[in-house]
Amino acid sequence: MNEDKRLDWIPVVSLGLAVAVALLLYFNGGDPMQHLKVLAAYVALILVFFFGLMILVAMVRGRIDLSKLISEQDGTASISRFQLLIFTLVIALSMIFMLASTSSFPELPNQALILLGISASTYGVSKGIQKSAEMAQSQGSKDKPEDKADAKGA
Amino acid sequence: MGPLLPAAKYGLPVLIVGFAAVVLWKMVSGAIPLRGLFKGPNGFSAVRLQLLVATILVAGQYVWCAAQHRPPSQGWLAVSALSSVVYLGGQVRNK
Repeated sequence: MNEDKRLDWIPVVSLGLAVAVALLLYFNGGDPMQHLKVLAAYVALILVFFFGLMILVAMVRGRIDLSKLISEQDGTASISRFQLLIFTLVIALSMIFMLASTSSFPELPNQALILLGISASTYGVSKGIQKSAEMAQSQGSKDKPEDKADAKGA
Repeated sequence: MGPLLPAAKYGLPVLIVGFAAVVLWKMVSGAIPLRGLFKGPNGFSAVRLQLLVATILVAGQYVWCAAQHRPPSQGWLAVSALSSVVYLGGQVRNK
């Protein structure tokens, strides 16, 4: 089977599930506006889940290249990217844990936002320092031949 | 809402845990290279190591607090911020 066709069942199943929910609600009777809210919630959940599943399957099969996920331009691993990855996963898993244990929408504490902010700022500033150093280096190498020419002229 | 909440409760964790597991597996198998994680311009970099240690400590403390349904203390945020400042200071010094 063609590699591209292997995931074709996912949109079909998600569409089928959404139609099944719509039909169940239609034949259930009751307030149409309430049904619309429930249907919208189901469709949103089905979309998020199956989109995520497609990405996950593509990551496992290697069709989404993750080799540069925490890499610098020169190919070495970046510690600030690694930190951002760890915090993102930890906070997402904690949110899921809170959702599972309280059965209500969890409130994201300010501390979590500050933590992500610190991490993202570290990454941003680190990139800024790196870029400015590279620019200064390239500027220096451009200036050098002119200096030599001036010296010769003098 | 019927089975919507249980579906969200069990479906979304599968995705998030799946993403984390795939990233971890790719790191272990070498598909995501970790080469040079502690390497600065002059070889081994202690500031990078301290940033990783602080990150793991703060992340562990965050998970511990989440398990107990309380927000993490300000002190751990200060540790994270201080560690980042040390790392950035080291980068500026090296450039």
